Amino acid sequence: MTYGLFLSATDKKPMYLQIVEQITSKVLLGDWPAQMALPSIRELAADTQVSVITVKRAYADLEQAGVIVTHAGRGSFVSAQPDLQQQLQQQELAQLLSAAVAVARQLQLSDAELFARLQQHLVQPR
Amino acid sequence: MQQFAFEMRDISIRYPHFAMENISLSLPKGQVMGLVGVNGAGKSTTIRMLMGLVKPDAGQINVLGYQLPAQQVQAKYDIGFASDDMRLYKSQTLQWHMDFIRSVYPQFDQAYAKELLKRFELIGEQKIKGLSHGQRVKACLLLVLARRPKLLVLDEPTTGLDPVARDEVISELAEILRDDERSVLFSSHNTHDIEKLSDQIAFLDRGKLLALQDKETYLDSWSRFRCQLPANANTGADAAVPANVAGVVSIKRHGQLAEVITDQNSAGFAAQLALAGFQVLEQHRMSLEEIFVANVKRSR
Amino acid sequence: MHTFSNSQMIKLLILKDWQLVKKSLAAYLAGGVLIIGLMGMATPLLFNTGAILMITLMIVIGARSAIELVVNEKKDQTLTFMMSLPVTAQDYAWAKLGANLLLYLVPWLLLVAGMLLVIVSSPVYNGVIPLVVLVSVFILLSYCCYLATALLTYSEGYTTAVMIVTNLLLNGFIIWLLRMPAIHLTLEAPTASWNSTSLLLLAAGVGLTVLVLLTTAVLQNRKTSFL
Repeated sequence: MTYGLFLSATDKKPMYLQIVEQITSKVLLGDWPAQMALPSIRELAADTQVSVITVKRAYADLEQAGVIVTHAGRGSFVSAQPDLQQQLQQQELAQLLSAAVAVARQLQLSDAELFARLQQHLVQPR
Repeated sequence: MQQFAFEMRDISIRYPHFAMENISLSLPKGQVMGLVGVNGAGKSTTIRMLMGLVKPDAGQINVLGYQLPAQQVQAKYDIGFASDDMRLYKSQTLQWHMDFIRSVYPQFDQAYAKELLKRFELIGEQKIKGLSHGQRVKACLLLVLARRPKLLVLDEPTTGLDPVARDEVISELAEILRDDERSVLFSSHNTHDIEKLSDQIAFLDRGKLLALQDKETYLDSWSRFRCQLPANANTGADAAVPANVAGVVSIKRHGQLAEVITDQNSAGFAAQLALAGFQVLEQHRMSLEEIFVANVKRSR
Repeated sequence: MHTFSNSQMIKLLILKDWQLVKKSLAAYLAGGVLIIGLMGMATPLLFNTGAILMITLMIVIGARSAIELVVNEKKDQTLTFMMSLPVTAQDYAWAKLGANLLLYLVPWLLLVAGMLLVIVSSPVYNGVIPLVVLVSVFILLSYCCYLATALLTYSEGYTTAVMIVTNLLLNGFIIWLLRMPAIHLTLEAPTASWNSTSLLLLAAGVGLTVLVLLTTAVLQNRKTSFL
C-alpha cells in the first residue's frame, strides 16, 4: 500500500519538511479526514524509502503544529480539532507574509513601499 | 535483551600503512547506520572486525550480544554480510547457491527468495559466470536478504550498479525498515543512498571517526551562509576570518562576498556572523555529500 | 577456542567442495579406467605408455584440486563469501584440509588399487608392484607438499613453484629407483618382492606424508585471519 507522498531528492527542502508539508496539505484538502489513523512511522519510512528518524522528526513537527495527535501505543491520528483546517490556512498565510517581508527587506523596500505593494494586490481583481 | 545491534569500544588496530586508534562505534537495535568515508578511510576494516574476520589489537566488539571474534560462529548465524569484493562460484548456478545457503541457515525463506528472484529479475538456473556485475551484486544480496538476518552488514552495496538496479536494491533495503528488530550497517561512497536511508551517520577518514550522530541532528548542524562584507573591509587573505565566531569550518571569500560553512548551526551563529560584520544574504542546508567534502578537507 | 561444535558446518563445506569438483573428478576417473585398461594389455609398450599417462593423471588431479579448491578461492574472491558463513578461520581451514584429502586420497586410492588389480590379474610381471607403489606414494607426498603450501599461503605463485619442484624431483626419483639394484633386479619377477630397501622407502614416504599433513594442521590452526 502506498500513502501518496511524493518525495524528491532534488527538492531543496529537506525530506522531513517535504513530509510535513505534504501531509499537511492532505489534511487541508480533506484527503486525510479528522481522526484518520496515520501509517506507523516504520511503515511510512519503508513506503517512502526514507529513514525512520526522518519520518519520526516529521511526525513530531506535525504534532507540534497540531496537525496530528499521537496516542502512546496506538499510533498517530489526524487531529480532530474542529477548526484545524482554518488554523492551518492561518499558519500558511503567516508563513507567506513573513516570506514576503523577508524578500522586501532584501530589496530594501521601506515599510510604506511594502504596504503600497500589498495594496496594489488587494485592489487587483483576481 | 541487548540494546545495541553492535557495539565497538576503544578499538585499535594497526597495519603497516594504516591504523585506527580508539574507535568507539555502536548502533542501537532497529536502526540503520551509514558509514561514510573515502576509499582507505577504514570502512572495510571496521566491517571486517564486526564480522570477526579481523581481530583488533585492542578493544571490545559485541555484535547481537556475542563477543567477537570469539563467538563469531553464533553471531554470523544472525548477520547477513555482502560486500563489493565478494564473489560467488562462477561454475555454479544461482539456484545451487540458494540451496547451499539454505543448508547452512535453517531460517532461509524460500518463498521470499523466489519473490526476490522476480523483483531483481534474476534467473535461478543461470550460471554465475554469465551474470553482469549488477546481477552478481543482486544475487549476493538475494542470498543474504532471504535469510532476514537481524543485522545486515553491507560493504558498498550499490557501487557500480546502474540506476535501475540501484533503485531495486534500495527498495528492498527500505523493506527492512518495517521491522524494528532488524538493523543495518552499510558503507558507501554514494552519500545520496546513505542520506536517504540512515538514522545514524558515522564518518571515517584516515582511520579516525570524524563524526557519529543521528542524521537529522547532523544535517541540521551544518549550514552554508552566503554573506556580504562591508565595502571598506580589509581584503587580505586572513582578514575575513571572524575569530570571535565559534564553529566556522571554512570561509571562501571573493571581493565583498563570502561563503561561510559551519558545523554548529543555530540562530546564534547567524547573529554572531552579523556582529562580525558578515551580513547574511542566504542560508542553505548542505547535502551529506557537501558536508562530507567540507569535513574531510577540514580534518586534513 | 569456542565451545560451539561446528562439525556440521565443516561437513557442509566439504560437501560443497565435492559438488564443485565432482564432474571433473568423474571425468578423471573415467580416464583412469581407460589407462588401467591400457596397462592391462600387458605389452611393454602399452604398459609403459599407461604408466606415464597414469603418473600424469595423478599429478593433474592433485594440481587441480589444490588450485581450484584452495588458491582460486582467494583469487576468485569466493573466500569472502565463505568467511561470511558461520565459521571461524580454523573451521574453514579444517574443512579445506578435509575436502582436499578426501577428494584426492579417494581417487588416488582407487587408481592405485585399480593398477594393482590389473597387474595381479594380467600377465604383467608382479615384480613391478613395489615400483608402482613407491612412485604413487611419492606423487601423494608431492601433492601433500603443494597442498600445504596452498593452504598456508593461498598464493598461486608459491603453490605452482612447489608443484614444479616436486615434479622435477619425481623424474629424478624414478630414475634413481630404476638404477637401484634392489628395485630393478626384481622388476621381472613373477611375484612382488619387497625387500628392506623398498620397505624402508615406503615407510619413509608414508611417514613424510603424515608429517607434512600434521605440520600443516598445526600451522593453519594458528592462523587467525585470512583476509
